[in-house]
Amino acid sequence: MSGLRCARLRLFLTSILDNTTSKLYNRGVKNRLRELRAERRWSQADLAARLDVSRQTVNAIETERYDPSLPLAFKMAALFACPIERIFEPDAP
Amino acid sequence: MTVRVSKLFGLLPASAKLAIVFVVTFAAAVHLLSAGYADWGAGPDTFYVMVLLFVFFSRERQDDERVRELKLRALTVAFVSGWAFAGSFRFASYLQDRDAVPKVPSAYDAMFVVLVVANALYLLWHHRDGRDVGDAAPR
Repeated sequence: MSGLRCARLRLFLTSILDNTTSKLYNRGVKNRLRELRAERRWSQADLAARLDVSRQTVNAIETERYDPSLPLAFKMAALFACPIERIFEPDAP
Repeated sequence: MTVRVSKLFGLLPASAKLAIVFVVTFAAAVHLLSAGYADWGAGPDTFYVMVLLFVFFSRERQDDERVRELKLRALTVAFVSGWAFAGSFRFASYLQDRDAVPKVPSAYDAMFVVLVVANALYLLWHHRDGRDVGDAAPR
């Protein structure tokens, strides 16, 4: 019972921290990065090496925890040979 | 010298950094409990803060934009925690003796709290970024 309470408290605190800070730094733009990567049969590490970032960064972008900078987005567009709009789609207004 | 130490810390994996933060925090807590706040002088305090500073601001193996964003995010939360710690400390001191001048923590103490929180949050978030790799390799 106390374990369940601890887990709930941890979840509650984590969600408060994440929601507060991600609203400050991240807007949660949807992306098709995982799909495009799978089409080319690349692992996250392969893509990370091609983009010159860490695998953690690729994972954070794919799970929509992090919106990449414009230079990195352009780099992705060049790598996948498609416009940025095909990779990222903004939230509906 | 600073650059060399920063590069040296940058070679360490996240688990080693977490171990260093844990050891320093534990040592500081033991020191504080055994010697009391009066002995919490600039010497050991400076050492603890410097180690935490180097661990936090040292280069990562791959220092990309996500790392910088996470560090900034961790520092934002940590600064609020440090401010809350200093305020609570002062308020608790005022409640203990309302006639005396309330005690305030030194800047090093506040910095210590800020850096422990910042390091812990950064390492936690960085670790979480590496998870959820169910389909990291394409099938």
